[in-house]
Amino acid sequence: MTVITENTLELVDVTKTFGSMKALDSVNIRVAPHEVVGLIGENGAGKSTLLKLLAGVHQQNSGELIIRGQKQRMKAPSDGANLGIGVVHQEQSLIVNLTVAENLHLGSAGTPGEKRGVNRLGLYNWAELNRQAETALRRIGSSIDPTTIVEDLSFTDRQMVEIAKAVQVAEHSGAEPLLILDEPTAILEPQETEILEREVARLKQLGSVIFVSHRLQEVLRVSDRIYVLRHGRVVGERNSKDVVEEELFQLMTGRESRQTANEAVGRTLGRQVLSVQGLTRRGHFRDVSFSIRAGEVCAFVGANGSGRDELARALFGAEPFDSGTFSVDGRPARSMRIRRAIRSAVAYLPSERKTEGMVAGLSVSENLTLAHPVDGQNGPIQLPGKRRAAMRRWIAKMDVRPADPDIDIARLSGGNQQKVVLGKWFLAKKLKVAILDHPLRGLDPGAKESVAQLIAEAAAAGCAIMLLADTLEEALGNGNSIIVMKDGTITERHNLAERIPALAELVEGMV
Amino acid sequence: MSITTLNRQDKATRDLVTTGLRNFAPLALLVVMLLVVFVGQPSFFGGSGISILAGQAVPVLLLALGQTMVMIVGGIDLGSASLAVFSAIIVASTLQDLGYFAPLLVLLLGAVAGGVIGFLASHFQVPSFAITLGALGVWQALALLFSDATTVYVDQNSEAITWLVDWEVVGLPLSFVVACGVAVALWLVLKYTAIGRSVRATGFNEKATLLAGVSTVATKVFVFAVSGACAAFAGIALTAQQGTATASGLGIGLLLPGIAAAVAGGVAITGGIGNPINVIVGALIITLIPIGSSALDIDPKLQQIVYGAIVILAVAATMDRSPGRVIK
Repeated sequence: MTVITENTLELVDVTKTFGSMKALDSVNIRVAPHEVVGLIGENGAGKSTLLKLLAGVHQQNSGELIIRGQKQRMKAPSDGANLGIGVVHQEQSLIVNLTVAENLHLGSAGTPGEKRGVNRLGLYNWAELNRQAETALRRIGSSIDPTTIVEDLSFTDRQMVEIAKAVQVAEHSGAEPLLILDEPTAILEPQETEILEREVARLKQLGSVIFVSHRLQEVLRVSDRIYVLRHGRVVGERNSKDVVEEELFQLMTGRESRQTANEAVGRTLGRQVLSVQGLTRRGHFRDVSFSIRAGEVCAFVGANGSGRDELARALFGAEPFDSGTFSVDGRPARSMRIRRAIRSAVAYLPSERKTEGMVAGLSVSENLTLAHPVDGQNGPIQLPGKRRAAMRRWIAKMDVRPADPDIDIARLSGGNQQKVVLGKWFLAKKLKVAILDHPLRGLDPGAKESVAQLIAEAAAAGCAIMLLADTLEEALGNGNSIIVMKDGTITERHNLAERIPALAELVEGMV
Repeated sequence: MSITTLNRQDKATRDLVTTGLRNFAPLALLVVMLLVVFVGQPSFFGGSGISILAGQAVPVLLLALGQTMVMIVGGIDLGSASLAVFSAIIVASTLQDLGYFAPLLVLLLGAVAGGVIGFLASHFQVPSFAITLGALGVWQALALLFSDATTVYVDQNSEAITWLVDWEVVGLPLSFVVACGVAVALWLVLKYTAIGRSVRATGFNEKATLLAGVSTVATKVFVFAVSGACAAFAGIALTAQQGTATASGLGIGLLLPGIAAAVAGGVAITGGIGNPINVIVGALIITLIPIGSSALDIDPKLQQIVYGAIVILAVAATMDRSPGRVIK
């Protein structure tokens, strides 16, 4: 390293400890101007600590933080912005009932634009506000109308506004910005991901980018160089063109990927368990017919608005449908209510884990027993001791960590929370149908494998599984069959035992 | 062992300590308040001060216990105090004919009235704040109607309810001991029964609880029925204490003290969290403020300021203020 000044950012032997634990241990990272650097690691590897350090939320205990050749010590979040660092956080921070322009103005604190947007009496200068917002959006190549209410924007467009906000603040410093994207694609559909990937290429023209993601393929596509963090250390630095996904997975988790071929395909299937005829809900899905057999994992793929989410919820009774019929294990269900669905041994895993899947505040064992009572606890009296003992076995079986039945579920990592939410359904002795809405969404690769394993085990035990897959790879890797939906109707069906469709083929049915 | 699990355990221990402190904060505040009264007016403890405090606390405590259940499910019951007044009038006017059945009938009526409110609130998805605000007016009007807007005196069969205030257990009125029994019973319900778990789960996250197949309608009917029965009990205790009942009587002013007692006892208005046993302490704190202020000769004009300050102090000491939590 001869000329230090050529790097936008350089971390030299940075260490950060919390109590006696090293969250970051002698980390060395550099980011060159107009470079996209990928940062990957499992939950708890130190990614978020690193990002918080760069954003000025935490301070390192030792080591140096060099920005554009200058040693810096950040003390407050505003220091990061003043040094040209913009962060797009994993969870969206826009205020949804305000317009795009207002949101961008709120994010312009500290810039001259903040003052120009409001007059001395504190009243908005709307024309100026909208003009500023348009400039900020055009800068990142977006043509969103600044007067739109954020609520009416698609998820991708909101992400664009977040990026515009971060760029606007970072560029105020006068230097080429360093943008940090924290898992920006975690909940995007495949073609939306493409839009974001194009955006990253564009941001590369403006400055440097640190791209944090769980999706290894994506990181490989967008980054020039990749750092792998594990247990607070950088365990690998690779050029994207010299590395394959498998190697990244190994570096990241410290073990080899268990995922080999799709085991589901070889499985012998049982009788028809879920059978749906002509199900219709006006404006959402129409004339949908399909059936799933015992032991079958039927993966549903489709873009936003394909109607598969509403279909899944209708089958569980969480949303209505207008006409059509379906039957569970031969018993017809004309209308469905949640409690009746559960009594007929149907399970539903919502895509929004935090708001719909788990009850934060209740313990792991209470969450596990919310839907189905533990043996011998069918009555009104609940004995925590008995419940704990029964749940210990389940927690061990599903490898939930920490293995404590009394801990608040909110304390667990995302992957472990998802295991508990799934476990709530899978512990029912005779579960017949499991409707899983994006079960692997937002999980790190290691957790993804364990959850996929749980799903495979349930299928092997004879459960019929309707899997709303996050990605086409997920559908191909876990399903026996794939159903493609578009605009509320089924456009393609594939039996993977007969033939494995090409990705392009599936995408064709979706758009 | 990885970094995360260790950190998590550290955090768990730390949280355990702060939670423990929070649990005892109301009790500590009550002890401090009693000490202040003792220093200023030692005779308060020599005479019947404690017994009076306990007796006065009963209606507030009962209303607060009902409120606690409703608040844990994430709602609020603004109608409970006026239901207590209505119940006081019903029990006073039926004692003559029904004797010992009068209080039982009133308890049943209270539970049914509360249950209906709970059903309407959950089935038609009306916010409990709105529907109980309406109920407040209805109970008040019914109380006026049944009492002909005059004072109802208890003449015959008064012994069917006065045993609540006349009998004593270790120097405390029986009504207080029974109300504490109610608190313990509710604590057991929350901890050891399926319905109690549903109550807490609904308060933490109603949508997820619904999607797990728990009947949130039944859960809300249950908590409002408990609140109604507690309000009816409070009405009976009021009539037993005074020997009379009026539609404009004491009960009306008990709505806010009831809520304050629950909040001072550490019940979160955002739902999910609350311990009925701590609410006993909360009710004693709220009742001690006027009694203690009088014993200390504090200017009655200043009493409301003392009241406000202590409520804020109690809430500040008991609330969970982890960073990032949304406080409403």
